[in-house]
Amino acid sequence: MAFSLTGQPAFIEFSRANFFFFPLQYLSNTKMSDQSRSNLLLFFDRPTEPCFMQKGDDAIFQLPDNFYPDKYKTVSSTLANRFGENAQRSIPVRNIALPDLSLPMELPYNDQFSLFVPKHRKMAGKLIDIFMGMRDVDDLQSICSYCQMRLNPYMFNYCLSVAILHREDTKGLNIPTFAETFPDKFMDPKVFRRAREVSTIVPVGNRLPLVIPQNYTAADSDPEQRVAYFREDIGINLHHWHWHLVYPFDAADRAIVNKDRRGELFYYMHQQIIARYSAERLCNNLGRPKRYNDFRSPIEEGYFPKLDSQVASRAWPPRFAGSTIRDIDRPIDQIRSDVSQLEIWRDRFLQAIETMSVTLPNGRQMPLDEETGIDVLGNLMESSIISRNRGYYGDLHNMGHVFISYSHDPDHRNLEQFGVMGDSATAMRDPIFYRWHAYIDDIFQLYKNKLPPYPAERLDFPGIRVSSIGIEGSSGANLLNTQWEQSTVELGRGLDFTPRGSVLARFTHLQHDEFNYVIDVNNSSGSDMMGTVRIFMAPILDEGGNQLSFDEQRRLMIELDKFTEALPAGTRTIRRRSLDSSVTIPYERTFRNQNTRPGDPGSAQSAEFDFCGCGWPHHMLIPKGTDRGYPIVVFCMISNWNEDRVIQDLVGSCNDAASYCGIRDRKYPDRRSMGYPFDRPTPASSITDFMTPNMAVQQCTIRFTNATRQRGQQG
Amino acid sequence: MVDVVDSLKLLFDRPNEPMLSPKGDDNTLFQLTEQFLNEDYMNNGIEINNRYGEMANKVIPLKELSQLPQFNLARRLPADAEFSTFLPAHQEMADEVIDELLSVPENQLQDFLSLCVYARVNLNPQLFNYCYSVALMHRKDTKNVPIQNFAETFPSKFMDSQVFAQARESAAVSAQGAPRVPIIIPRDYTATDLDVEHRLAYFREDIGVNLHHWHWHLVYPFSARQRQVVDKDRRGELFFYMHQQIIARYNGERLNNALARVKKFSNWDEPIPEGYFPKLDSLTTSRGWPPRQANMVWQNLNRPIDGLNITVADMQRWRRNVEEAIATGIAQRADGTTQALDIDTLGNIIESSILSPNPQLYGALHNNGHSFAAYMHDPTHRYLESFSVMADEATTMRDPFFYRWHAFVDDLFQRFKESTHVRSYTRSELENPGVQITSARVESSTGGQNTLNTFWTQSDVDLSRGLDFSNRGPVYARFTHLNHRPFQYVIDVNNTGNARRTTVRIFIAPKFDERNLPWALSDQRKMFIEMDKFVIPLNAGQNTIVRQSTQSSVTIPFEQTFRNLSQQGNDPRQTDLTSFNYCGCGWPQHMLVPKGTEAGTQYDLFVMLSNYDLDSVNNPDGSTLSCVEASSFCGLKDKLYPDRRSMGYPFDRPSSTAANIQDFILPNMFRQDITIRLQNVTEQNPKNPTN
Repeated sequence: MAFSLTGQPAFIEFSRANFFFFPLQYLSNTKMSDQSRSNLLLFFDRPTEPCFMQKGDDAIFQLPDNFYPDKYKTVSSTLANRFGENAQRSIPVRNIALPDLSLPMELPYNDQFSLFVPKHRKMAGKLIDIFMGMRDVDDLQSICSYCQMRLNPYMFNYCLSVAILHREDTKGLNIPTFAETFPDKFMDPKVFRRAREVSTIVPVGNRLPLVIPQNYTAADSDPEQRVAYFREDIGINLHHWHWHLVYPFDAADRAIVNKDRRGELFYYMHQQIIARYSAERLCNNLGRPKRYNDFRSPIEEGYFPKLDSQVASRAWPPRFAGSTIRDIDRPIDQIRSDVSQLEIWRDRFLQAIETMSVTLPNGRQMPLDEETGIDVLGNLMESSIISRNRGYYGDLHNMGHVFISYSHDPDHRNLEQFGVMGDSATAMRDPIFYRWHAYIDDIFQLYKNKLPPYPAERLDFPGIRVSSIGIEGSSGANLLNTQWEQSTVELGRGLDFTPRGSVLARFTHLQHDEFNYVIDVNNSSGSDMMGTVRIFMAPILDEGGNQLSFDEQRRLMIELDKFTEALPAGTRTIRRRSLDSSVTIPYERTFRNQNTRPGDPGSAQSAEFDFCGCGWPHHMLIPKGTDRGYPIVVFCMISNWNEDRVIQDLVGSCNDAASYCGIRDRKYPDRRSMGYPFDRPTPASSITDFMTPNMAVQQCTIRFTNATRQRGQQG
Repeated sequence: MVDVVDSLKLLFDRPNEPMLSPKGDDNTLFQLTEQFLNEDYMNNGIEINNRYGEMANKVIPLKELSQLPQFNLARRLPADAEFSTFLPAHQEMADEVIDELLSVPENQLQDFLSLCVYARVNLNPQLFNYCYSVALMHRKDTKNVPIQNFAETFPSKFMDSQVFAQARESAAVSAQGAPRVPIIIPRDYTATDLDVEHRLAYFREDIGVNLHHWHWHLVYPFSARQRQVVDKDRRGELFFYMHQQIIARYNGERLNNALARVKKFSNWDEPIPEGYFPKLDSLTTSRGWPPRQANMVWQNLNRPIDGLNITVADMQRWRRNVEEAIATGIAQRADGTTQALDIDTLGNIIESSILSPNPQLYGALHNNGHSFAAYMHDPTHRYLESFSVMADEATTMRDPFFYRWHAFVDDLFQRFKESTHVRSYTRSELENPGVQITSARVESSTGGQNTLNTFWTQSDVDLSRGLDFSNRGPVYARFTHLNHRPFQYVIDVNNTGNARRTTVRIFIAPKFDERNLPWALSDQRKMFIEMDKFVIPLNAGQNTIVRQSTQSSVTIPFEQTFRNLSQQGNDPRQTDLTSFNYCGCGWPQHMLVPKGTEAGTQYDLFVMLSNYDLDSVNNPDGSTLSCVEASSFCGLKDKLYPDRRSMGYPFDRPSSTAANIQDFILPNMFRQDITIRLQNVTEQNPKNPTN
């Protein structure tokens, strides 16, 4: 592939320059005042309003004259005075020598931006490089104020986010939730018209929250609509966006990409998405997602996103039912690729799995071993720049997204931008996302199927016996309750060019009643032990109402929690709150809790309150279930911590959603294969057959009540 | 006290904003009472309205309505839905509202104002705007209330959606002292030249062309509870002729762009190769207009929400019945009797309007064709999608399919004109004894003879009236459109008879077809576009007739499409001149002349001086006409169509004798070779506010 090669040499050069030069300077400049660090967060406020206008609740940037864009240059002093009058806090911006911004400037201000587009990756790489290379926070602030008024807002935000996440002197600075900066990527644009009306007409005290409609993208006559609550959930889409922010597949600085077991995590996180989506479908009388494995046949599912891009001022293009992907030739995005290329890459993967070895650029074969094979495959598949042979195995997963997102305008004749599949913040809205990833997952499973089953000694934990697992919920044992809940999100930050003031919007999402896991353990070894408790859930019946075979069921296992627990000799009952799940992040991180935020909405203080955005949204922990009660099996295993553990210091890092997201700057906190013990085939014919004494199962029921409650009224 | 006409004008301002806040540039506020609040502001509306009242420059009190209208149907359309008169359900809603607005007794304008405010508060903004415009146009006491330029009140229907984000920025920042720099709308934003159809984008997406079409349908609604609103002189024939001329003009432009004439859409099971991605957003619904991909196929429609449940087979049945009527020359009435088919009836049948003699039998071929084309992406409302640009009068001409569909519709009319039921013109119907044209030519203002020069112009439109919820003050968008150097026709006539009147008819057509061969008259007659038609006195002996291109009976003045935004243009006396309603309808002056080519395209200029005795209509005194600019396409308000001949005469039917245009020429006619040359330069409109 031409494009994947073209970008690389340039990247490597930039990153070298930085990495030999800058770390020293970081050290000398880490004592920035917190105020000036948090001023950086003001650049996330109202992304398309020029930064000489009011930012946040009270601040204004004092720009050097030469920073004003040409159209405002002649009146820069007027504008500075007029906007300055209203501001309580004036932030002086240092006049620095500007670096060469010509490459990132090539992306028009009003275009869409996607990391799936190679040219955009290259431009973003350069901009990240520039941000990473600024000597100190003040210089970073200067370059940001210059760029904010000129560069494409999506790209600017992405690059600034990556820089803040990875610079030493901005550590601990937490970027505001993407859904508030760019609410247009997450909700029906009708809300914005009304938000504009409210913010113009209604005085601040009298404002009622707007209601964001649910089920606005299709009617019930479209069966796929039954799972729209999952696909279009704000939290789920934020999770996916955030995951790709933490794990970019391309960056000038290789260390940003080359994180511990990132290839394997790519496999596992997406495998879990498919397992969860499959369970939701089964709850809604739909079959498991059909793999998108024939690139030549039409895609039955249409999707009409009904989103508007605030920056591009364009509606996101729909995909009509029955569209087929076509050869792409879009010089503007530097993409030229044929559908047959996808097939060639796919065949090379199949061959690699067949022979359990991959071909390296020098022609040598590298075996895919039991421990690291999946990581190697994951990096090849995604693909990221740490792919062992991108020239040969190509870019299957990313290009699948690209082909689908351009199926409506493959040669750019209609000047159309990509569909929702081209943006990690919106891709999960589209039914085809799951069909594509079901296929990707299937290829990974082909590899997993070649591995030997876990022998009993790799499953058992001698001396430890789990006698039972149960669910202790508000309405009885082994019963999980779900229903709709309405929560609020703040729109004021994303409503450019409207009067200031908070505008809340209320949206509806799935929610479950919180519960406890109750696990009875017996330690007969006579000494204190440490164990890793692993809790999963899976459906019992298939789409035809028949018992799932164990081999199918294990692929549907959803990880609910994983934690380390001391096991004193003797019998013990472990109680674990569902809220503490290692998979999810609390509600407050997905949508900042309006009641508990310190400071006023939109203020810098509140933006900083403990935010680690990556993680499955807690309100989606449990599948929806059914009115009559959906049967599931809950599985618990306690494995030997001595074989699981990774020795590292976890102080000060956010690690409460480690299962799907890993831990920032640390190793993945579990030495086992991700998905263990269900990641491999087994000769067992049923789950009871599979079990060793350190495991237990319990059949439970998920009951859905078709009612809506307001957040805060647990009941 | 604000004049009631001025108050009515303000109801066009910022159509998506509630009535609580001030309207117009003068910060004028309607003082609302409980009666005029909708659900959204039931609790705090009065309080908010009063707060604005403290700051308002002028306050308009409203007379209480003694009886509130029900609007049982019209209320069902949500405020944020799309509205289209092509949809039966929407049409019924509009009929209800128009009926209500027309039934306020004449000269009770305070009541009318209150009723309109009530309607605006409670109804969908687009529905209101349409009904309100129709009512103003058809009430006797509101004749001097100008219909606002639709492109200014609903700019999102006419321009690239990207303009609006920039416009908001401009409004916000300009309010603090930044200069009001026009927002440039790129000429090519909907497609690239990879798509051959895109060569015609300057025509299809022209703001004036689309305004014309919208306005035409406002003047000629096809349904209403009060029959006289629909039943205008020769409206069916005008439906045929106005659209025939659009197709002729479009085909001419296609030839200028090295494309063949448009292929009629005749096989309804066939995929449509032309895709269209409008890149417009609706400010009312907050949705993008759905695109159509290449190779989509008509689907049976079942959308209860729009009152549509029709199949392609229904269309085929209606088509067979219409073709039967054309072949036999007889139309079946609903009561079982028959009538001889004429072009006016055929127009009403095909469109169809409520004047159709038998809607059951003949269906609504033309209207439903728009609906089929507009819903290919979501025929059963499964995706909760609204219609595409094809179903909105203000946007439909943007889509290449509009022309394919109207080429089919036109072909039905032409087959009638070519049938034995329409007699060819006899010599006596064509000649004008004693009148001989000795020469005819065009003289361009730039000096050339028999050469018309076209070029590109950039003109500004003020968006601020349509920019809901943003700071006040003008926001300009700058368009690039085709234009031509003004020119004049000079015709030398020898009148050997007495002094008399004559009708001068001027047409042009390309000289060669798409194969670069000379035309047969049977084809070329469909390519002639009307440039002007006017009545003048002829003295006995030699006459020289000089007529300016800007006087054309086809077009409306440039300023009506693009308001004069310069300093002089703000003079109120100036704006009055162009504020008459009917004047809004008409082909835009800047599109009068086809584009031509840079090398120069050969055209036939055809001039005819017809026998006025056969042309004249018995209209009551013509001096009361407030506006006559574009009678050829739009007729005259409350009057007979000002020409007794068949529309399109003398080219509306085949000739029984002439094989080509040369054979056709009689002494009272003249044919002259002319050239249309494009200068590929872009100039600023001198009336733009800043340059």
